[in-house]
Amino acid sequence: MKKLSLIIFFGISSLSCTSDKGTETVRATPSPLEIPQLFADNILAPIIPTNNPQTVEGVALGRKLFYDPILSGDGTQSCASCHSPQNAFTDSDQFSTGIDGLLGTRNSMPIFNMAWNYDENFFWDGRAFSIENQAMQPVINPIEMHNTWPNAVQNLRASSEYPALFKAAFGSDQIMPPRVIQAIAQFERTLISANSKFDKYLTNQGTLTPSELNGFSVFMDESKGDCFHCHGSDRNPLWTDNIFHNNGLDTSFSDLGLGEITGDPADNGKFKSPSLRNLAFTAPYMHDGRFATLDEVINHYSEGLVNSPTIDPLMKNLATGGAQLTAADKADLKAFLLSLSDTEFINNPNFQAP
Amino acid sequence: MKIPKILTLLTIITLFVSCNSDDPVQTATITMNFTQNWDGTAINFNTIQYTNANGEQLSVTRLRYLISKMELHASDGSTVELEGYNLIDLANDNTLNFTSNTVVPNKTYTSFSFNFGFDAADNAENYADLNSASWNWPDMLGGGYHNMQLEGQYINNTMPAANTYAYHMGKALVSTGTYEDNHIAINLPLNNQTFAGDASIELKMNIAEWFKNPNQWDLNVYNNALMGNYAAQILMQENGASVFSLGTINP
Ligand code: HEC
Ligand code: HEC
Repeated sequence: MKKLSLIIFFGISSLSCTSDKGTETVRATPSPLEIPQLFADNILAPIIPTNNPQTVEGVALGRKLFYDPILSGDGTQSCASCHSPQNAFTDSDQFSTGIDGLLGTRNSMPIFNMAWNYDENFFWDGRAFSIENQAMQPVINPIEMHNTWPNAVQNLRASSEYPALFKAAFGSDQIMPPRVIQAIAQFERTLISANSKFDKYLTNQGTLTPSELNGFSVFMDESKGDCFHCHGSDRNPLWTDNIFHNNGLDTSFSDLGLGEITGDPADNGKFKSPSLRNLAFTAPYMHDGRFATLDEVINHYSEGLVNSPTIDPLMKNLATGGAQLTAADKADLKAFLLSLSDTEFINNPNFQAP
Repeated sequence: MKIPKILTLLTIITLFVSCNSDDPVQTATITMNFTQNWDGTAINFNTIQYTNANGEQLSVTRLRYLISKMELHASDGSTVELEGYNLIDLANDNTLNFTSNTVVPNKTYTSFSFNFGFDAADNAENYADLNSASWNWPDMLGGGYHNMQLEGQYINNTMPAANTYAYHMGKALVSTGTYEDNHIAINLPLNNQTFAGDASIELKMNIAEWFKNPNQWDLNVYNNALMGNYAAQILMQENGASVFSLGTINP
């Protein structure tokens, strides 16, 4: 057996040798994502583009870029300004302020388990396809980092540190926008959250209180919360379907959401279901941050639903505003939702500012 | 222990390769094409435009269903199963066709059968692709997977505004802890069908039948929260029997 595998090994390595001939690239150190057992057991593998494999040097560079205000127009704002680790990589404002003091119209989004967004539609309205493409946008968004890409790469080239870091990560010290966003995307893919109290319950490393357990039943019960059709379950521990729905917030829409992107009126008022992980750190809630607390969110689904032409059919009892949960069920649902928050994730030293 | 395994594998591969080049027996792979209609009209999404047997006007905003254990039955009594299952999602064109890896022997086939949903044994397995598609049926209702999610809005002449319906089918809850497996086994005749090469079979779903036959469906009674409603689940099971038919076959 040993001999055979040796032969196979040499065969393969000599093959790859020939194909490598001529290029003298420095190879970065591969650093495959560590997939949590709960994910490996239940859901499909994460999406990693073949032209941007995870490497130690790439992730380190991406982390530095993510926290570095050098990418913004006036050197004052980094991605982390609106995506802070203590907030599960969102911020605590309803709308975030860009470098010129301008306010956006959407609530910042948390960043975790991004590689498991199989459709790869990012932003509340899904307008960016792939993590890499998403990262192109904030840098040049006039109400965010308000820079130009030529200016951003020029500043990186002029820095004393970055050329060497790009060389280590990508084999060349030529700094181009695609390399910048690839590095950031590599770092973002490492932001994996899978150690909440509920995860520990599912992997037999912890228990839940009776209130949390009943809250999970309310979540799974079609005649009560009926949250699982859109927000995952014990078998889909992402706690989102990453699909776009109108969950009954408004009768008419000032922000068309997905409809703005597709141009199809049937998509008006639809936004991507957010993950329910880490809600303890991500207030306020919804695409426009309209709800400051989880109680308000739960009251919305229980009594506050309003009808509109694109309402999701899973929003029921519209005449009475929703599921009409009892006070006890509401409290338990909230306790369950909070058990999906992952303190180890927000405190993970690998994710903090370098 | 391991060397013989590899040797066997190599031998099999070699045999297989040589078989392919000499053997005159023709075989085929089958592509299933899943189509949907409302009493013969191709289905359109979103606008309220269909009238069911009970007189409510309705729209279809979402339709997903699971087909498993697809089998061809030959005149010599043998059966070949097209390995795999397919979750059809009308919002995703890639799911409307399914090509099984199974090579179908060149025989005369007299029927095609499949399960709508999973049978009890298949339903007890854990499927990463279906979990990722949030296709699970809650444990409190016996667990496993949905057979179907058919959703939309409906109105009738007396209603002030459109209401929503979610026609979800899966295991039927008899009482706490007791469930009935609720898949539908369907068998459709083939007229001494042979397949010369790679072939395709169209499996048609007439959505109107879910509301019609033998039970006239009343959306005012059964619209939402049907998953745990035993009576509704059994009505679905009965109506499902006449929903499917075979369409175009390209042999
Ligand atoms: C001024 C605040 C701000 C800055 C700076 C900022 N973002 Fe964002 N980010 C937002 C807001 C607001 C959204 C949601 C916008 C929308 O949906 O239209 C968002 C959305 C995202 C998303 C989408 C997440 C998902 O699940 O769809 C990602 C990823 C992201 N930002 C990464 C970054 C990166 C990388 C940077 C730095 C290059 C950055 N952001 C800089 C505010 C900011
Ligand atoms: C039809 C799909 C659907 C169902 C069912 C559903 N949600 Fe949502 N949920 C969404 C969508 C879509 C959003 C974002 C809406 C927006 O911002 O416009 C959302 C937002 C949320 C948020 C805000 C999260 C954040 O980060 O801003 C919470 C919390 C939430 N839902 C909890 C629940 C609970 C609890 C239930 C069950 C009572 C539930 N949802 C049922 C689709 C759904």
